[in-house]
Amino acid sequence: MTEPCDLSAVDLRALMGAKKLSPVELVESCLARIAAVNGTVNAFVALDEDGALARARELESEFQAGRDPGPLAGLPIGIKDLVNTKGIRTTYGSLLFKDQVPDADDSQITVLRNAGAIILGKTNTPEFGSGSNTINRVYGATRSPFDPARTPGGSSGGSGVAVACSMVPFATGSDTAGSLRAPATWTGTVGMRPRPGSIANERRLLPMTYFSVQGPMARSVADLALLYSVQAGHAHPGDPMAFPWDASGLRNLGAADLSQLTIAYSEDLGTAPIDDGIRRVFRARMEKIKHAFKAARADSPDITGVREANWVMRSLYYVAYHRERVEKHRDLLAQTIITNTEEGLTMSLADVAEAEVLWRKWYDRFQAFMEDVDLLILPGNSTPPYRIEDGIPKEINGKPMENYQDASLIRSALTLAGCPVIAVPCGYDETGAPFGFQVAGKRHGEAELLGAAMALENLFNADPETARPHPDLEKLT
Amino acid sequence: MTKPTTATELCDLTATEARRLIGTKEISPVELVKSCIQRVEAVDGAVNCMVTRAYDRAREEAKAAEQMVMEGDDLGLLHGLPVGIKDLEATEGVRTTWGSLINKDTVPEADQGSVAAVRAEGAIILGKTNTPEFGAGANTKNRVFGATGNPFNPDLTCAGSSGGSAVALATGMVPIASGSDYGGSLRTPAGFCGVVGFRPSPGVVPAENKAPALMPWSQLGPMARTVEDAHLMLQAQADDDRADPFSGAVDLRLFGSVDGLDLGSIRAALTPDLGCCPVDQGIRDTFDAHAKQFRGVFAEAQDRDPGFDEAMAGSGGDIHRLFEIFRGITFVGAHQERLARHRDLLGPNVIDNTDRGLEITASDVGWGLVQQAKIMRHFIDMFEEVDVLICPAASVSPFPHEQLYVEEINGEKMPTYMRWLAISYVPTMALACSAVIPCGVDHKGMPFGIQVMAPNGSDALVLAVAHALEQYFAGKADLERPVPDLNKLKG
Repeated sequence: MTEPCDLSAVDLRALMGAKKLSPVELVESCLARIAAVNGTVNAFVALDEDGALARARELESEFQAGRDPGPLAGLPIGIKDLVNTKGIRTTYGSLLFKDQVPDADDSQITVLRNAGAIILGKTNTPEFGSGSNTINRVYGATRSPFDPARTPGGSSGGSGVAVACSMVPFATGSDTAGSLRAPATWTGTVGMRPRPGSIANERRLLPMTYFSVQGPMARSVADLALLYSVQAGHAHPGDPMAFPWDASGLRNLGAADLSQLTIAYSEDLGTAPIDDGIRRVFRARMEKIKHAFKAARADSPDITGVREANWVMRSLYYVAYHRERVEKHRDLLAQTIITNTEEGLTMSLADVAEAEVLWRKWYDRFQAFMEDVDLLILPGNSTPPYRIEDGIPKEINGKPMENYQDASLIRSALTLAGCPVIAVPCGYDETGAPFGFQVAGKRHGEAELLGAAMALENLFNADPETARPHPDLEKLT
Repeated sequence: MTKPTTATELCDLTATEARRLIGTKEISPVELVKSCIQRVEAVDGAVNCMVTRAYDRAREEAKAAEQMVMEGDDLGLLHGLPVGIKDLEATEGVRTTWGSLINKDTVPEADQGSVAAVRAEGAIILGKTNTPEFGAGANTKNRVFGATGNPFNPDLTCAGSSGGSAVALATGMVPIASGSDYGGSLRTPAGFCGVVGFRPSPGVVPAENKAPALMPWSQLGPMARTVEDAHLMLQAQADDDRADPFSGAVDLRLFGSVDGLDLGSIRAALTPDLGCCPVDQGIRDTFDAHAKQFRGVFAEAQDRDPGFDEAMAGSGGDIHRLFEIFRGITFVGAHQERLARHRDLLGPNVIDNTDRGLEITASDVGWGLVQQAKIMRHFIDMFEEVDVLICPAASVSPFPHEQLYVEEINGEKMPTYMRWLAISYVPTMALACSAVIPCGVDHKGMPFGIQVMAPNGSDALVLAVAHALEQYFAGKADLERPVPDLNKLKG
């Protein structure tokens, strides 16, 4: 049976504006859903029930008084546990911060609160967001609602699962090497990695990087655009990548006309490791949809050097973030963090300089490639979701992966390109897990990308084979 | 408003005034270009700043520009204005050497974006201005063209690396010129030559082909004789270009006028040395004496520095180390291969910077990234209490160009060839945008300049404050822009 929490954010906001639904009822519906299924999937790891209900009552009065309390008024939201929330436990998935309760919100939370969103709680993440899974020693593993033995991906896995199970209409995530895109793909939700600087993050330890960006997750492109229209465009002096712009127009976005778009698509960017089963599904789905575009060609920019550049820069960042922690608290840190940091400690400035140059060349090649195409479509993930106890795949198609990042190359390449990318669900893979695409747009082209994603979503949802997957919630209760 | 000018020739007009007179058909671009060429011919023998000249094309373009005016076409922001382009920027059909023997005969097939941008707004390239090899170092001399002299005393350096542009402006060869700035490359020469240089926030003037992808230390910017002119040029240069990863939607506040700011509403912090930079005692005394004459204009003038040393206390290094690390990445990224192949053709600065970089570890770079973020945020925090920070443009008075760099200050030996530039590279590390404006002369009678700065993104504010100060300085004997004696430079 459909509950209020199953409705879209756009519809919910309209119902509350029309006083046909109270924010209190909605929060209660979301809390009931969490109570029903979170025990199995472990997506929400901290809840602020009292705060959320109190805020809902305030907003209810605002609506009753005929005021407009903001574009997100009354909508509950899940916040990834890497972001500081005032008065709500924030652990970064680390034993080192397991009891931290921040006394201030990050500016991105203030922005959401000011728009009327109700912070319902925190969603799980791996330790410091490291790795494309969602497991840590504070809260344990988050599980896929489609098969609780398997991972929902990560690092925004808690948000992906919370959204997929309608615990909230939308949630926040962040993305370094695919942390929004991987869980969106494996949970059948929509996640967008915006261009760097679009959503200010003044607490990013290393401010000048393309790697880490904040982004929205939702069950539909329209809901995602609603959230993003509030999140984006707030310059903050503490984030030199952030810039001011007016994103409010994204709330009225319409679907693009696919027949006017030229796309390129690639199952592997030429050399990225991709599981054979995922390749087969990708080819079949592309075959099915490519007629919808003005022109569609199998083509890819050359990713030579991207893997190496990504690994060196990532290791450098790990050294910057974690060297001191590895020295002092080795026993409290995940092995991926220790390994990646120690790898960085063996590198030289010359390695960094070389990586920077390779990165810059890739950036230029990618920009040139996108000159005459509107979208580049890739698989959302390199493999089907793995079993939680097996961990990140150590080989793909029998070929061993040299490090835990290699399986992510299909996503990290786009990170280094600096373009906006959205993950859009498209049916199931051969293992019965959700399948989806990464759709990359032109630099600074979020509005066009969202319009195209909305059209793709319409196209996919019209066909049972490509429609957005829904988990069987009965099995999770 | 343009301040009263002592102009005796067209080439001495400000860019803003010349552009206005071109629009009203009171002067022709043809006459203006001719006047600029005459000035180059008259004085460049003494100062050697316009090292490649594009007279023929400039004359043709001036004719076409005049035609457009007469036909009532839409005219660009810089229509008909001669411009000097720093020889680190590729110019289509005009030799571009980067000051290097390796490229001494290179004639690019295309303009780089920053050049195309000013040409698209109607500027006419008069020639290329001298720079040290690959812009390394703050003394404009190289093995292709030799040294550029200071117009106030040609035996002394004009600083660098945008020294050629600064000298061309000071001597009236062009009303606007391009510069670039890593650790002060357009600010130090502006200070030494009595002109204006503006280092914008990252990406405001997009740069392509910069090797390190996300290291925003090197920025392109405008140079001119007045802030208004620098702002005019910046409006032409500013763009959102995919070629520069830092470029974004251009802030509309950059456009329009720099006029109208009330200094009486501005809180200024004043410091002779940013709290952590070597500064010659004579320069400190000059700064204090001049500041005494203008500090009263502000709502508040506080004597304070950003406290970078305390921000980095216990980190195991200082802000100079930070600069050396990032400098190393830039040089290793840009020159490692060149160094391996052409060591004999490269100068000591490039070799020194690159070799130093090769000794640094990724772990040091990681430390640098963390510390940079820390000091940048520390700097930003100060601006809750002040609006602008003001300090000297350079740490010393211009010195003989025979001397490659400043070896000691106040008896203290400088550990690297860059250290005397700390007063300008420290703001770069904090990612400040900074305008240099002339402020009288120093204890040796040479031009003295001040930096007006604020955090990343404050370009419009910095320019407006600099413009208002410049207007306040005008007509005040101790503070106004010094002008070189051109008669001493002529033939």
